[in-house]
Order: sequence, then C-alpha cells, then structure tokens
Amino acid sequence: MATLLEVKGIYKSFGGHEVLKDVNLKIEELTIHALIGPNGAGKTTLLNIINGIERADRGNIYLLNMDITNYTVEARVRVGLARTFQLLEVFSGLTVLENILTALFAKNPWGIIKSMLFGERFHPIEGQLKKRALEYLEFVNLSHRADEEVQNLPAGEQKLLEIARALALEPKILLLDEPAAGLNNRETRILGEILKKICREKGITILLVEHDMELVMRVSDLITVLNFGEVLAEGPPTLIQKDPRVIKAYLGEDF
Amino acid sequence: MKDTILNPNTKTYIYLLIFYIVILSAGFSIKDPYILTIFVFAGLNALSALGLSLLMGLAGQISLGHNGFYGLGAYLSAILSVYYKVPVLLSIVIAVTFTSLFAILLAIPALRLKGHYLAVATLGFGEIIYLLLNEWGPGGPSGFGDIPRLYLGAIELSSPLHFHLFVWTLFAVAFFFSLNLANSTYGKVLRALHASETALRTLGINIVSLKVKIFILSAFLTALSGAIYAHFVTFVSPATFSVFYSVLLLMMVMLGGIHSLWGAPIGALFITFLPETLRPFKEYDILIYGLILTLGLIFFRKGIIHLLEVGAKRWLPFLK
Repeated sequence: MATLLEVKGIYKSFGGHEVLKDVNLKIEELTIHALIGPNGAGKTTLLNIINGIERADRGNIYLLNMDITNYTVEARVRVGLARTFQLLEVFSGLTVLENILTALFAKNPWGIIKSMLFGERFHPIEGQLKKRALEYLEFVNLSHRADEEVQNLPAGEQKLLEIARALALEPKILLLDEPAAGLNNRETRILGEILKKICREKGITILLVEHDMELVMRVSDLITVLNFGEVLAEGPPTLIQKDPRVIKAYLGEDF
Repeated sequence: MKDTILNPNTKTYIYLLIFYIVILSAGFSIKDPYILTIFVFAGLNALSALGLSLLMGLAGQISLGHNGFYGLGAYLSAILSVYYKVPVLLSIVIAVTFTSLFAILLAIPALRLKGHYLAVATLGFGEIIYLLLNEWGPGGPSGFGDIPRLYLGAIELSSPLHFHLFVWTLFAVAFFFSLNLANSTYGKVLRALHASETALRTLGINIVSLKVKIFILSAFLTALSGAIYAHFVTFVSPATFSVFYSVLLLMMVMLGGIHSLWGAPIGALFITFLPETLRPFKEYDILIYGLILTLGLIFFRKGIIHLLEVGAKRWLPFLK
C-alpha cells in the first residue's frame, strides 16, 4: 500500500505553549487511521494544520509525495482533502439538500452574471447536480430530510450531513474531527458502518479524530496516540488497547 | 421536489409582477406631482436599498459606506454631463461603471475584515467620499445645479410621472435579476457565507472573490440610483450624500425585513413616505418618526415583510 498523506516533523506553539512537538504521521491509502489522545493532546490542531486552517511553525505535509505545506485551504481541497468539524459548521438557513449543493457548486462554478440572468432555470446541469446531491444524502441515510432547514435537524444528523457534504467534494482523504461527539449509541453504530462504507465502497481514506473508544477500536485499521503534542504509540487496535503507556496516559499512574 | 403548480420561487416572480403593476397604476392615478415626486424618491431609495439588501441580507456583510457610492454615482454623472457635455445616458453608464470599479478598491482590503471592523472601515470610506465632494466637488458645500435631464431616445423625462415609470421599471428589472441571483445556487453559496466562512473555505470556495463580486453588485445598484437622482433633481450638493443616507438605507433594509429582498422596496416605500404622513403632527413629527423606527426595530425584528406574509397567509388562504 502507498502512503497517501505524510506529516513530517510538525511543530506548533501558541504563545510559548508547545502544542505539537515533532509529530510524524503516515496514513496509508484505503485505511481508516484513528488519531486518539487525552484532551489537549493537540489532535484538532494537527487536523487544522493538515487542512490548512492553521500553519505549522515547522515541518511539512505531503499528499501522495507532493509537498502541500504552503497550499491554501482552497488549494488543498482541489488536491483531495476534505474535513468535518468538531463544532458543527453547517450552513443554517439553507436546506439539507442546498448544503450539499454548495459543495457541488465548488466543483461546478456558475458565475454571478449568469446566475442573475437565468437563475437556476436554464442551468444545464442543475437537475444532474440535485440528483447527485441526493445520492450523497442517501449514502448517509438523510435523503428523507432533504427539504428541511438544516438547523432543525438533531446534532447527530447534522454531523452526518457534514460528512455527506465533505464526500460531495470527492476527496482522496477525509479528516473527521470527533464525528461521534453528541451521538447516542445507536447513531454511533450507524456512523461506524458509514465510515467503513466510505472507505470500502468509495475508496476514500479516513483520518479519524475520536474520543469514543468503542467506535475507534471497531473501525480503525491503525491507531496513533498523541499525548502532550507528541506521538506516544502507534499500532493496530488490539495492540494499542494493551499498551501500558497508552493506558497510563489515559488513566494515570495508578492503573 | 414538491409537486405544487407554483413552487415558492415562481410565486415571488408573480408577486413582483403584481407589485410592479400596482406601483405603475398608482403613478397613473395620482395627479398630485408632489406625491409622485415622493414616489420617485421611494423608487430611487428602493434601488439603493436593494443593493444594500443583497450585501447584508444575502451575503451577511455590513456596509455603512453606501452613501459614498450614491454620491460618486450622482456627482460623476452630473459633472460629466454639465462640464464635459457628455450625453446623459452615457454619463450615467460611465459614472456607474467607474463607481463599481472603485468599489473593488474598497472591497479588497475591507472585505478581509468582518462585523464591526468592516462596519467602521466602510463608514470611513463613506465619510471620505463625503469630504471629497465638499472639498473638490463643483460649488463646494453648496453644490451645483442645471444638471441636464435624462433623455430616453427622443423623449425627455421631464415630469415626475415619466421618472416614476422609469425608476420603478428599472427597479423591477434589477429586482428580477436579484431574485434570480438569490434563488440560484450562487445565491445559496452567498447565504452560506453568512453562516460559516470557515466551512465554505474547506469546500474549496474562494470567499474573497465571492465577497468582492457581491460588493461590486451592491455598489453598482446604489451608484445607479445616485446617478439617476442627479438628473431627476438637476441639482446636487454634498449634504444629500452624508453618512445619514447610509443609515437611512440601513433602516429601510432592517425595517423592511433583512431576510427577504422584498424588505428593500417595502422598507424604502415606508421610510420615504413616513415623514410625509407625519406632517399633521407639526413639530412633533421627528419625535414620532424616531419612535416608530425604534419601536419597529424592537417589536418587528423580521420586518414589515414578515407582517405582510403572516397577514397574507391568514386572510388570503389560497396563497398557501
């Protein structure tokens, strides 16, 4: 298997506090790679740096051996990076379907002048786009909600919508920031199935930041444990579960 | 997806047609030139407010500098036609084009700012234009007159009725295109800008370009309104283009209803006619004017348009 995404020697500090110290990470193609660690370990910061929302102080990021360290957020989307957020970033005021359409629009832009002259009436691919948007909703079992305004959905469904919206970008790798937060057991189980489907059926690699250990252990192929901004351990779920260093980091000395 | 004969989008176009017909009939049936003149001002304000409504209501950006665009449009077209003898229609086109291009200069730095910072930056821009008109404008603070009237082909727009028909037709056309924009996917993306800029960026959308374009469109409509104003009143002075005009536009958009483009014409008609209807209260008119605006914003946050919608649904059940 080839390495899809490589993170090399990343350092990041906020006001003198080192959040990431020499973090290295290799994500293999067509795997679900989980990134876990106690609160404040630097998981979200690392995700933001990979995604381009934040810049690393040092270190490089490679996608299929191409250095994308200096790419803007938008450029990284074009080469195949998509993400969801820990705190929901859906477009309230728009319907569920329209949320997906915005993602499809990014790939099929249609200028402001043409939009003013014709609206959507003569859009050659409008019907096609709507059909595709519905397919993505179907994929996360949300098609029955298509015409509802997104803010009226429960948090769990909004999370699924964010995943569908990211999928609509047809990325190579999907970065998920705590997709199970706020979901109940049943919803988390369904989420697990969807994640597996994304990887197996769509061939999209996943980097999963998650606190729900049951979900992480069930779906991931490889787990990286981050603690105080450093990689503590890496390995398949069965090994990570038994690793004394990991247990110590999570539960403290006495266990 | 819904199989109704009239989907919500088609309905808004029918409302526009009805609105246009009602406004035109009002123009033909009202013989008092004074009231017709107020109607023309309301139409100009509606055009300006539409520009602001697209920027604020649709894309969620704020501007307190639209008096600058209004003033530039008016002064440039007036100067070109008076001092350089440019035919009026052409002078309007040049003035509006130039002002729109000028908007890019403001947009690129300003739209990297958000919220309060953007408000202050645009406020500064409007104030600069106002001061420039005072210092460099012909006639200084007292302005200048004898601006030629507008010709459409061989017809001189001389009476308020002519202007009434012209301005409201122009508004209807601009509104039609704006409705198209709001209903298109592009419009949805603009509304998404309102909700989350971060998420839009992670979808690969260049938000600066998006903001600059809507800003130019907004400036275009307000400058157009300003240019026509100059050739209607045939006299301009800087006082008309002070920051107070921006505040007035803001009130129109807010009181009319910021969540719908319809807020712009409704708010413009309401605010333009309000001082006239308060005349009987003599010296208390300003007080009542202020009270109505304040209470309106406190109790009708969704604007007059929302009241009309609720009313229509209750009394005209066939609409729903």
